[in-house]
Amino acid sequence: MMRFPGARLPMCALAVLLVAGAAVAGGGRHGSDVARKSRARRAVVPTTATPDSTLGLSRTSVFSIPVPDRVTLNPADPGPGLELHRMYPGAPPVIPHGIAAFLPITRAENQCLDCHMVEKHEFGEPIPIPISHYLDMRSAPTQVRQEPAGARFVCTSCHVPRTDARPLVQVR
Amino acid sequence: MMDPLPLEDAVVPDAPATHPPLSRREFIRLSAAAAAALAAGVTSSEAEAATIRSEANWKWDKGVCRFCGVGCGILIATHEGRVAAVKGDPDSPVNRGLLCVKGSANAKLPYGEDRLTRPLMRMKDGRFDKSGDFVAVTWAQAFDEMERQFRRVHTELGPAGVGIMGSGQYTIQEGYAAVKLLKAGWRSNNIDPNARHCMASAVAGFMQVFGIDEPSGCYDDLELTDTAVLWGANMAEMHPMLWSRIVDKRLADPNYRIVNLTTISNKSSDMADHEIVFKPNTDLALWNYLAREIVKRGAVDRDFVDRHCVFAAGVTDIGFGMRRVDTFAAASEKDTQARELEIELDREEAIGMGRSPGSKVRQEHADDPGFHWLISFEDFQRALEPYTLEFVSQLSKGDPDESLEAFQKKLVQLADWYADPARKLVSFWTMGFNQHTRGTWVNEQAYMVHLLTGKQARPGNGAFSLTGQPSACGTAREVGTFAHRLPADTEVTNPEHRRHAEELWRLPRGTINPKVGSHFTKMMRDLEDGSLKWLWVQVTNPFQSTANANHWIRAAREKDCFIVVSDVYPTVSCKVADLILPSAIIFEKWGAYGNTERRTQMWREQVDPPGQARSDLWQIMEFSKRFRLRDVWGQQRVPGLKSEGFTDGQLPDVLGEARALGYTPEHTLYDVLFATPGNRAVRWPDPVAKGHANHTASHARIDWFPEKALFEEYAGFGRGHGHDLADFDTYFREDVRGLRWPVVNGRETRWRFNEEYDPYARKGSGIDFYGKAQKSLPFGDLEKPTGEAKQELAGKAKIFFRPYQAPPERPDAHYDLWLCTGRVLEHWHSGSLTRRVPELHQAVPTAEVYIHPAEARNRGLEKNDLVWIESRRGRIQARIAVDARNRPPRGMIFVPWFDEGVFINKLTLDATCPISKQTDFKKCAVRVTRA
Repeated sequence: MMRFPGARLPMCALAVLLVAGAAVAGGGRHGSDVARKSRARRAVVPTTATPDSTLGLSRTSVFSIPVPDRVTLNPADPGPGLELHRMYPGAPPVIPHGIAAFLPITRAENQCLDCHMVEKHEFGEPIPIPISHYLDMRSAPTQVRQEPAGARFVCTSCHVPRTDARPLVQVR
Repeated sequence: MMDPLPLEDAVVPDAPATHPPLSRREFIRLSAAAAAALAAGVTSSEAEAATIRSEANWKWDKGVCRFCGVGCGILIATHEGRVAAVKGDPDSPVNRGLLCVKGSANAKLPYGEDRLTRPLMRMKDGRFDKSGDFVAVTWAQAFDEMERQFRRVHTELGPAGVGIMGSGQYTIQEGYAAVKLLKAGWRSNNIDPNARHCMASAVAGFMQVFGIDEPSGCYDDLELTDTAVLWGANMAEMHPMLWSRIVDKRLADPNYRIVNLTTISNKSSDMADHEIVFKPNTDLALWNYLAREIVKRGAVDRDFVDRHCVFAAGVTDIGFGMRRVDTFAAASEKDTQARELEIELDREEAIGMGRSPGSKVRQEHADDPGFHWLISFEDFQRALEPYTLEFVSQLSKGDPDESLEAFQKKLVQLADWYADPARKLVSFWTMGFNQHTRGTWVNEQAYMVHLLTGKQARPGNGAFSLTGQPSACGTAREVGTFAHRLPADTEVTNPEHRRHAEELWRLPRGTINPKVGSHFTKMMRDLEDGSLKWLWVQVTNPFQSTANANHWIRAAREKDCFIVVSDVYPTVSCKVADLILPSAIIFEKWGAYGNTERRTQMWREQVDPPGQARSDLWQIMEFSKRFRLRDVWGQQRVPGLKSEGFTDGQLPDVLGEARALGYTPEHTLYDVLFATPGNRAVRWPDPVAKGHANHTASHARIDWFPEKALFEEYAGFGRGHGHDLADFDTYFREDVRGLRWPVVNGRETRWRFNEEYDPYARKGSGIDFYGKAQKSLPFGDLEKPTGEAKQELAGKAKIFFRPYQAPPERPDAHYDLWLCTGRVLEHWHSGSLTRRVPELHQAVPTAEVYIHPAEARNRGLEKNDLVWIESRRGRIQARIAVDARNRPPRGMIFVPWFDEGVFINKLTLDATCPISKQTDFKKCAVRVTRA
């Protein structure tokens, strides 16, 4: 099975500076008294200097022209053993296999449904479309339909595939 | 708290087709349990039980999505001080429980590892230094330097030397506070939102046609119509939840038709019945073809037009919104820039304007580009005459591989649908129209055809401009965070509007500056030429989003200017800033957004901002404490100010009259603008909070509720004037999912101008286009007004004739390809939020070049190959796309702009619609070579 691990980027020391949790007395000025401001200047703060080129998603100068990484689409075919990942419990799962061969989704052809519109989940078989998708929430929210709701027809609006790209930034 | 009603994906063992109807409770249990079991990789009753226990601790509240202008309702789950999850709100009429993948990512937005949590300032030797690196400082140090620099610039240049760039992602209250500080406090008009890049042409179109801003229709039209026509709106990617409604309707209704008019075959084409690929800028000609057909076929709704419409024309020699001097242009830019002053008409332009090919036209009306007058129907009809099927099809056909006959057949079919009185039809558009050097015209043309056929302001019928940002309507347009605007459609150039604002704000007469400030792109040019030296950027990333970016990033770093950027993550704009302020993100503050269908939605603060991050409202109010009235309300120099009642070039000293209002010169702007007696009476804590915190109030150490007080103060501008908002607390009611204004007597308005639905429409009128702006006009012919006498147009809308014109830059032998830029579904704007969500980044990790296979082959290029893309303004590197979601015709490439590493706006041209000042990001000339 092909996996696309989200390899952890080495975080530079900058992160430590930016994420500084300890609150050095900021703000400090309440009400409308301008005269008190000089006192705040004496607050002790870290003096580590961070060049702008180390900030942001492209760790380069804004004047440079970076070379973008090659992109490799997920080469995995649908099948058993694929890891189903969600952003958080209840979020739509990321598509664990390549989909280039199954696109585009048109009115005449929706290959996602061809495989996933099944009744039961058997090991190694496509995961059935969940029952929530068979409800037409706009017109008949309590009636389970024969087919998934039309509003959910374009699967790739909510479910996206995965390339081999490493996350640019970790999520804490 | 609210019922969570979790609806998302669940694997259930039962066969869907045979499953009986579920009760709401059963449904909740099934989906929640199965989702969690799946997440855990197990399917067992144990996991089911564990999930129900864990979700039981989640606290749910309603909110709104952070991203596009659709304004999907979400439910936010919080747990132990963090956002744990979001779900589509099943009770939201906008999205009925669905969310696109960006919407799902809302839960992750606050938690990127490089979140800004401290002010950072460029320092050397313990002092601010523009050439220094960033060092963490306290808020007090940050504001000290901001103030020092403000005073230095204000002394040198006056109010015109300072400015604020805001956004359509400001909450309503933040935008309102920023406008008030800048316009009432600092007496400058240099505030403009990134929404200028997004929907200014739609605004200008509304104002010119209807005399009032914002769509007449609403999302109900998606289902009520039989025909959805997309013009330069790839709704499948840009407004996916509106698209889901259209697709739903199309699948259920064999009579429903979807038409996609575009310059690039795209995902909306995949579901469309009809795809029309046209050449850039020729939408101007396509509309005139449709109008001509409607007139020729006798399909004009005479009764509607006679009762509710007039015909109009305007000046056409209006330039392209570029600089009028070439002092700052590089040698390679000068040929394009010269067209700002004079153009030579090509064959098609000459035919379309009834002139001779090759004639040179000086662009004389660049300073008054919206100037227009009334014309007769006969002149209107005569102007349309050249726009025959033959002429327009040859001009407009965008795919060289399509036959002319096939293209003509599609145009005729389109005309059939527009002309058929039995067919309901909505035209939707977004950036394809608005980002256009004739963006205002093409907006006006959409209304031209809908007004001619009476398909406007009626359920299922209308020309409907969609916005891109979550509060482009609610904040940018309704509040008026524009250089020319005051709240609720009022304008700084109108003495009555200024007086009205001065009364509501309790300001001395003459406080508000009557001179229109610098629009977004002009502020960048001002930085470059030294006429603006102090800039505060909030909730936007202008140094990545503004066209011809090389000029502006150089200006920011190399000119004598001080740039403050407030944001949640370090962006390109932060990198060129002098001071970075850490902001709270959407769920860390109270707020309100207004979506495309005039729906105002609010949310409570859900979690604390991290570290020392603070809301933009806190930042605005805190900084306002730094200024006393004597600093800003004395006489001020404003170069170029010329207005009745003002001495040329200056604003009057209003401190004397300020005393009469009970102010002293020692009062601060905070006292006068924000902590007013009325606002302080709106107490915090407030029962509407239901236990939710308010860090803006607690860090300001105030016992009043700034978000509620400012909302109610702002609503005072619109109530009774056609922009009525409900009271603050109403939006938090459990049974309310936003309300579409005007909200009168507790009822929202679905179709404006329609007597049946809109309480502002005159009784007995049927339809009443009651907007007041630009409703007194002289009469003339197609070239100019012919008399002085003005005609009053109360209740009428204008049907404009606008000719086809070419854009200022087109492909040539060297720069041989059109470049069109745009978005992808997975990323929002400059990607500063979405690229930090691993799942979105991994879905679309970089901006790729979409190119026709033949164009790639001719250059020996294959998927993933690295190329140089070069324009007159710069060069960048990118890779050839590996997917086929966008399929440009030969002669064109498409590159999304979300990726700061593929900095496409270094290549784009900063030409704008001269009327709306909105940049055309869709058209410039480039060349592509192997890297």
